[in-house]
Amino acid sequence: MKSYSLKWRLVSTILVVFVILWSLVFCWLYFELEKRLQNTLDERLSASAHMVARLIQQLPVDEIANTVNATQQDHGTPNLIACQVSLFSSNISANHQVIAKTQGSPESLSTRKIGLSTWSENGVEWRSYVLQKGQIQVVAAERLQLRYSLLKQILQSVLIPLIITLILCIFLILWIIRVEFQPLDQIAQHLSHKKQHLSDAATYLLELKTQNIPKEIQPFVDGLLELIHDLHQSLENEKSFSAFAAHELRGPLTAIKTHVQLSQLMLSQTEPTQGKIDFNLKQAEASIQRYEQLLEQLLLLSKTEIQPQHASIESTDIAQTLQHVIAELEQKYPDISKHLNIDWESLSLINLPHATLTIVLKNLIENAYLHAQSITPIQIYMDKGDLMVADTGHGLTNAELGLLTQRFWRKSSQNAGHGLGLSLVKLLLEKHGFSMQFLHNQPQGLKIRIYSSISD
Amino acid sequence: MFVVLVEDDPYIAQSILAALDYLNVSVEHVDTAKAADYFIRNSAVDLCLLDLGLPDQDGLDLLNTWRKDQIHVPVLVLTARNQTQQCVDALNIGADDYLAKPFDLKELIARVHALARRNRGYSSNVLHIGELEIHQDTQQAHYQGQLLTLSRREYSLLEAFILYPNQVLKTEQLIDKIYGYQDSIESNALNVHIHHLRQKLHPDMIQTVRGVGYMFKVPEQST
Repeated sequence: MKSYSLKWRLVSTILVVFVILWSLVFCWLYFELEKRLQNTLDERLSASAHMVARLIQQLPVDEIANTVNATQQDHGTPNLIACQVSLFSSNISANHQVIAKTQGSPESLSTRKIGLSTWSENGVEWRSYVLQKGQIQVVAAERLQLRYSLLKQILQSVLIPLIITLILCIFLILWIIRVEFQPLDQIAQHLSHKKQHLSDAATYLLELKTQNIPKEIQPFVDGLLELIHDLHQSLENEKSFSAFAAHELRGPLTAIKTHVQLSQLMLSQTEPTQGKIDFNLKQAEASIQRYEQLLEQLLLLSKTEIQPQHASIESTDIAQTLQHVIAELEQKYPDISKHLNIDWESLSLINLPHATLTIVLKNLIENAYLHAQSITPIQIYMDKGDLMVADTGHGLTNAELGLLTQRFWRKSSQNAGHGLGLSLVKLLLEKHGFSMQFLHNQPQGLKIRIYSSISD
Repeated sequence: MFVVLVEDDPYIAQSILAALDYLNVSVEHVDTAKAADYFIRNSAVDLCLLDLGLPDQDGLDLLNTWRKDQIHVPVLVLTARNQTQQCVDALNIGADDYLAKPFDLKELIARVHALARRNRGYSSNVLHIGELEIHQDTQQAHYQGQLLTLSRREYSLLEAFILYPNQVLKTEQLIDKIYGYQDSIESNALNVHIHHLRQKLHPDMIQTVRGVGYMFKVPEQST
């Protein structure tokens, strides 16, 4: 379906409504005017006949009949109105003796029936009124053409100003619509600019907000601004994430490439050193593992990000999950259990899925083990329903605590890992209605508190 | 040639160290800006390979400090940041070259040699002094048209002499240039290499400056 502009729709609708309304008004006016005009003119015709009859009655009728010979025919120019006076007394020899009549009167005036009638003679339409009073018959008639002409003149005098007003109204409406739609037109024109940058659009809309824009457009501008802001934020996040991911991926890739190329160089020599080649390939393999680990974390992070947020209905036994996690970590770090101090008695259930809790615990323990350099074992316990992981390592400054869950943040790239573990843990917890808090452990180190943000 | 590698990522550092070591380049690795600054200010370094993302200071800020302090060691910036603006910034601040990670090993080596020799006024990777010439790409040396059989330490020593002709090089400087800081060496190791080089070249070309070090004397006709 073709989409027309709002202006076009408004103008066309107003025009159609105007035309229909004014046509109805015209029809009503025409019929009402014609009816009233006919009545008025009929009354005038009757009044004229009565007036003439009263005048004639004041005269000596018999003398008039003898002296006046009204049979003189005058074939002058026919009049628009006509009047005829005739006598039909028994003393008068001739029936319907016409004693007076206007010039150009129709021949058949005396034969008209009493009262009002419309008739035609020689193709000319007449309206007549016949009055019989005593011996006198008065006929007053007028051409219908006169009435039509009068009606036409009245209609013209009424309709011409009305039509001009209507046309002026239409132009005024068009102009008003154009003027009042200018803010919308400008917004549409600005936003539909092909090379429009998001920040330009946002700046323009912000400027627009300070101007006197109509109330109806305000929610549209606000909504658009919010949308642009979200989109801009999302794009910036994506850009920053991609840049960091690319930066992190380049590290192991550089090491792999250099080791492999060095091995190739050594192999091309006449006496390649097998030991050095083996060393290079082992180093390359270590970097490949690091690369693989980073990719897995990135994929898990993006997969978690698109999952909807919902409170978990599944409860998991922390102690049981922790045992599995430690067993898994021992394959990588054989002495890790020696660095853990777990208060098994305090551990209970938590409203997190088993898989999520496994990732959370694994990351937190591995993080503390690799980075904290704790002087005493890492403590894992529950306190008032909150899960705590505490170390007595170097700890972090307040500024660094704020950066801990920032993606790709590491205190130093000398540290193992990619700065994604805690971001992933935070995201996973948030998806299940949990939060993570970083605290300074006393007397030193870092304490991580995991608590339900729904119950808080 | 003595190179300082400033890189905080141990995996990348390990790979570059292995490559440079294999190619007879003496290299010292540091992983912080503080250590790099100390090294550059206190050693006779031919070239610095500088990573920008250091844990204690941004590499560009460190480079800026060096240039402001009139430290003109050639610096080759190695970075995973791939924005053109950062490359431009690095070069404007005073970097001599810029290489984005992951780089090609051959390209890295070529740039290392190019920067080192350009710093000494050479434009080709074949360095000539009199009847002596060395090829940096193949690490071979010819004297009077004959190919010299040199060990990797002897080659490094000869390259150091050619890059600093007619200049007194301290014993410690020479040891740094051929061993770097990491190797534990015998006390007379340098003397042994000098002795071998004198046997393969004209004996008067390498002169002992008593109590200081050695000087590579360029014959008159070659200057």
